[in-house]
Amino acid sequence: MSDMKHPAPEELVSWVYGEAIGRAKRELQAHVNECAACRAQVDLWRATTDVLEDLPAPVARRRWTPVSAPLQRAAAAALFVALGIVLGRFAFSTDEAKLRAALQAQMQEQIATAKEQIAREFQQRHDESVGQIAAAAEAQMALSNQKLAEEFTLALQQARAADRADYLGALRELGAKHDAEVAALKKGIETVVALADYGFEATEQRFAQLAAQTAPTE
Amino acid sequence: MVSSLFSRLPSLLTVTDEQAMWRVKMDDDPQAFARLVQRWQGPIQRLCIKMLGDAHRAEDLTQEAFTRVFARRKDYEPAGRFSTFLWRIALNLCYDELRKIKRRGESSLEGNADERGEIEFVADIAGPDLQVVREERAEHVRRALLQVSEPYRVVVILRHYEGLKFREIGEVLDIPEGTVKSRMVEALNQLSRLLKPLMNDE
Repeated sequence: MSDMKHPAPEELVSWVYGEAIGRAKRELQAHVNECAACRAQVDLWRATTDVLEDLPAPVARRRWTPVSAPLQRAAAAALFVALGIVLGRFAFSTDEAKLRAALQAQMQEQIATAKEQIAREFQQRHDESVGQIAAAAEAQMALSNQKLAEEFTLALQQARAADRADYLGALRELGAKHDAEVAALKKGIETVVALADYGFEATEQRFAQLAAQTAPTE
Repeated sequence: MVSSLFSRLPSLLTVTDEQAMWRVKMDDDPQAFARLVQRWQGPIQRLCIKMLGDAHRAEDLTQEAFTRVFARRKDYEPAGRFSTFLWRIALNLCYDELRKIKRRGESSLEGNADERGEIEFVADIAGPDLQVVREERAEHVRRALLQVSEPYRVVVILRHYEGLKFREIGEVLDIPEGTVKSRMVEALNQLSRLLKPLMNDE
């Protein structure tokens, strides 16, 4: 028995809840019949699920609305009629059948009226309830739409501000680049001027030297 | 009124949840929405009560769940099951509520029945002593369920109390079926320990 390969607990739980099918179901059934350890596990789970059944369907008390007005009237009418019947038994025993028939007709009429009122009230409350849910949902949607619109506007403004900052940054960069190029050009021109000055001076000196060397010695 | 109800009965019986939700999505059909509310408010309220252990909050969340269904009707994909769409919304609300409770440092286990939101259990024909015993057992089970951590608790509630298949639970929670089964195993093991005293009582 100890060499027996046990099914995974997940397979066992699936079998306990009747979800194993076909061959798997037959094999699990056979295994549980043979294996004491798995049978004990299954029995424990089944005992647990049996206890879980001790929690019945709850009925919330808060929602119990007071008995509706038509129902109260119907109950009062029924009580009054019943009282009438009882008293009538003592007071008018000879006309009991007649009185009872009259009272029954009256009672049935009142009950029928009350039933209609209850049905109307129920329908009205039902319609109101559905209307309220729909209205609440619409309000929530409107709120979420407004919120979305606000978020969208904010995002748009942020995007515009970011674009403006980018544009200004690019302009500044371009200006700085332009300034640098102007400065470099100026420096270049100054160098050329300096070189030209130097060139003129050198040429002048050479002419002077040349003139001194070529002067006639008489 | 009765005759009009009967005249509408055949069409009500033939409309599936998905068709009703499609009408809500496309036409804002109030009758179709009312039908969905009527059919599903019980299961959703049961789920919320078992997740939170509080009947008052569960009622509020149930209303909130249907409000969200209506508000998000345009998001509903007809290829998916309506129930999956609804369970997800309700569960997300439960998770949000549990987070709020944790932040406030409250415990849904605390307080007596009146403070927590009265839960009245359907009485049957039994003597008062037996009724008291049953209510005590129910309270013990309720507390045990709340002690199981949320990922495991939700699987037990959907599988055991609401009868969803493991595959369907996987779709609702967006996790693989194998993971659902693993969580069920862990949940049952935890509950076995917590409910041991009640097993011995039987």
